[in-house]
Amino acid sequence: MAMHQINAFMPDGPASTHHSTIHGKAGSEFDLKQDYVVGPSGSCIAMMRNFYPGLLQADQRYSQVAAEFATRIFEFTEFINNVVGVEKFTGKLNAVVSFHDSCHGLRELGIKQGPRNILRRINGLKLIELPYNEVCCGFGGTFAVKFPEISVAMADEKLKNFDQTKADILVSTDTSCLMHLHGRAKRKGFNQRFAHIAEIMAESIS
Amino acid sequence: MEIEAKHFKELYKKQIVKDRLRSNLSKATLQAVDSREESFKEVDFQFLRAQAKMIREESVSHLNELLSEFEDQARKNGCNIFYAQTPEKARAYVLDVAVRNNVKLIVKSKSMVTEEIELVPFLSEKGIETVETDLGEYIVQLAKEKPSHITTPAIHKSRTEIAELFHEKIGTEMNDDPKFLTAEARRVLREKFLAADMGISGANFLIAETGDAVIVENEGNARLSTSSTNVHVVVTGIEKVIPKFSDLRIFMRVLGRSSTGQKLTSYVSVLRGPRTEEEKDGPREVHIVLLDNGRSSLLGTDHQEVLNCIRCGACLNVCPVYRNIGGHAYGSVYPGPIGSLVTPMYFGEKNAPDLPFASSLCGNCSEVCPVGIEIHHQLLSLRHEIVAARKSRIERFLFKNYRKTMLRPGRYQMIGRFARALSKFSVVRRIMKPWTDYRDIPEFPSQSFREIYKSGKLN
Repeated sequence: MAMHQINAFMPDGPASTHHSTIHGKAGSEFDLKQDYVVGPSGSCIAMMRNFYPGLLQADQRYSQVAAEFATRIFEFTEFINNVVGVEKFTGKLNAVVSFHDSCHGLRELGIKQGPRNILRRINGLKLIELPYNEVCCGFGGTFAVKFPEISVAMADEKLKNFDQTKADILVSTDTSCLMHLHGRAKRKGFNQRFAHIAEIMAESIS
Repeated sequence: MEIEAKHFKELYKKQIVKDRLRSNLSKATLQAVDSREESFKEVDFQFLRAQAKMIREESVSHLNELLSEFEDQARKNGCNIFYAQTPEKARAYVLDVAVRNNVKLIVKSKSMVTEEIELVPFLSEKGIETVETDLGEYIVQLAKEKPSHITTPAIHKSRTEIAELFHEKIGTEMNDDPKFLTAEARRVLREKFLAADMGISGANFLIAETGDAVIVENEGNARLSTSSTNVHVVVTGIEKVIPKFSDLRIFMRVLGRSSTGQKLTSYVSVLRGPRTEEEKDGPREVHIVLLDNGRSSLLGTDHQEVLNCIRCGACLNVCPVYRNIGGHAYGSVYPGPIGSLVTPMYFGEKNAPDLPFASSLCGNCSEVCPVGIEIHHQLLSLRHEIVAARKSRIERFLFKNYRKTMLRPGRYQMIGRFARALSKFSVVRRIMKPWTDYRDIPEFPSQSFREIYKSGKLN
């Protein structure tokens, strides 16, 4: 980030920034008109971009700011591709990886090629696509604990497909898919690694 | 009406452990998903979907006018029209028609609405034999089961299971060749068609402009069921009406592709009333039963778009939840994503309180819906309603505190520190059983990202 004259800072609000960010309390440095909020998870961004404006529509205090906020918030790979410019990034990492499309990234935000464009800019990295890569991993928020048997049956399908690719790392843009899949993989004795795309990028430039 | 969907949590647990069921479902649904995708390659799905959605929205928002127009036209064509507010009234009307015509045997083609009103068990109880003539439905009827899918009712069975069933029930030799099994079913069903006194069918579309009932199928059994007897009864939902005959040009292109990956189904029948004097065959008497059962209560609400559904089954095939538990787990004739909407909407939220939650909200259903229903957003909005009406004190307490925490950065950070410290103790892990019984949880770091960030170590 520093390399590309981007000032990153962390606001004082809670991680999922419900109130303080939207209210402009995020810190004196933050300006809703020209700054960006970046998050490492398609679900969170979809919630704030796609659902806040609707949920806060009737609320005079927030309706305007929610609509503006929706245009300033980006999922991490969207930010790299559409704001920073993916061509500014190159890396090197010898690894065979597979990529998991997060449902909310894919269907709520329309993220499909962006993360792949990033991975392609890492020399030595080989991407093997998962069979049925647009099928949900089974996390689904409270669904994971309300219907755990179904949730892990879905994870098992995903892990079976991942295993078939013979890749070493499953990369994704969504921390919750990764937590769920990694947790299930460990329980079932899989040895592969599960990593957020930002981790892979960081390793590839270090 | 009390329905099984109330017990979803017990039902799905029984289904999900059946490995053979899951393997049958996985094979069949993924094949349907692949064929669907392949078949849409040669047409512009987004364009057709926009058209189909527009026509269905138009139809549903002018339902009253279109139904009157349909009724007028169909009456002119010689049909009898009956509006049934409830399943009871629909059943009573069909029984009355059967009794007046001294009917002993009915041949029936596929109709989800007849499943919805439990027509076949009702008629059997009254001593009228009703034979399902769609192969999948026939299999399910022989097995004394209910359909587990809205377009492929026996999707939960492998061909070996079907061979065993036929061997046991109709005495065929053990042979799981699909051609052989189909021929055997055909042999039995032909006799029934010849002997039957009445036919029952559903309808995929009702056309207001012409009064036609349109049926789309692959086996020819619907055509026979609707034309080989003297009396034909159509049982369908009020929402099936579309304005014009020419609207079919859109639906014919999306329906087969969405269901089975076919460009067009093998048969499309357009039924325009009883036989005329010049015609040599066809029924002498036609009745059209239009069921409401909760449908009209959705008009003008946020859920109105659910009535756009043309029952293609694509949302079931793509649904990873459906793929793992199968249709019977839903405890409703309408399973899968669309079923999780329709069931609570038609039978009451109290009858299916868990169904809207039984989804990871991945959105694949909405993505493939040929009439553009935002299925997963509808599920979310049903959740809102159910939670607002429910008095779960634990849930309320948790969310109230969640809200307080999210409003106060200090409190949020403090709770984070507590959670990280307490995560070492097994007592805390026990609270997380629904997670930890099935998966490991990540090790909590000793410092939060914020703490690391503030310490300046990141740069």
